[in-house]
Amino acid sequence: MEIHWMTDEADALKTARQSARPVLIDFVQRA
Amino acid sequence: MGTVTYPNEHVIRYVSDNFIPFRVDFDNESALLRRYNIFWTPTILFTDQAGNARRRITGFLPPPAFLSHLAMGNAFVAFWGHNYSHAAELFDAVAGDFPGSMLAPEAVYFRSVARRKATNDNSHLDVAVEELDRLYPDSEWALRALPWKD
Repeated sequence: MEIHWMTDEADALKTARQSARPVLIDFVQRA
Repeated sequence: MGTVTYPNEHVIRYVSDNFIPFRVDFDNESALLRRYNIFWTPTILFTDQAGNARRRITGFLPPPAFLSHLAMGNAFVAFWGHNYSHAAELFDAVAGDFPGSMLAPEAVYFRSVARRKATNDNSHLDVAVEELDRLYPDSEWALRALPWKD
C-alpha cells in the first residue's frame, strides 16, 4: 500500500473537482 | 518524509481518503515553485479545487505529527473556502483526535470561529475561551482569545 501521487497539475485539479476533495501538494527534491 | 512518514499506513489511509495527492519535482517545476513561492523542501501545500493555497507545512514531520497537520490542513481548506459548518466539524476532529498535539489549541480557537461564522452566535467564542483557559492556558491561542472574554 502506498500513496498514489499524481504528477500533472491539471489532472490533479480536475480529479479534485470531481471528487470534491482538496489537493495535497508535496514539493520534493530528488537529489 | 519519503522514507518515514509517507510509507506509514495511517498517513497513507488519511491522504488517500481525504486528498488528491499531487507531487511536484522541486528541481524541474519552476512555474509552480514561483506561483506558490516554494524555496525549501519538504514543503507541503493544501489547496482547494481551484489551486488556491490554504495552508502550508515546511520541514519534516514524523507520522503522528503529520497526521494532525493533515487534519488541520483539511479543516483550513474548508474554512478559507467559507464552508464554515464543515470546517467546524474538521477542527473539532483535530481537537478531539489530537488533544496533546501542538495544533490542538489552534483547532479549538478556529472551531469556535467557524461555528460563529456559520451561526452568527457569539456564544461559540465563549466556549473557546473556557476550553482554552482550562486545557491550554499557556498557549498563544488562549492569548488570542482574550478579547472574547466579557
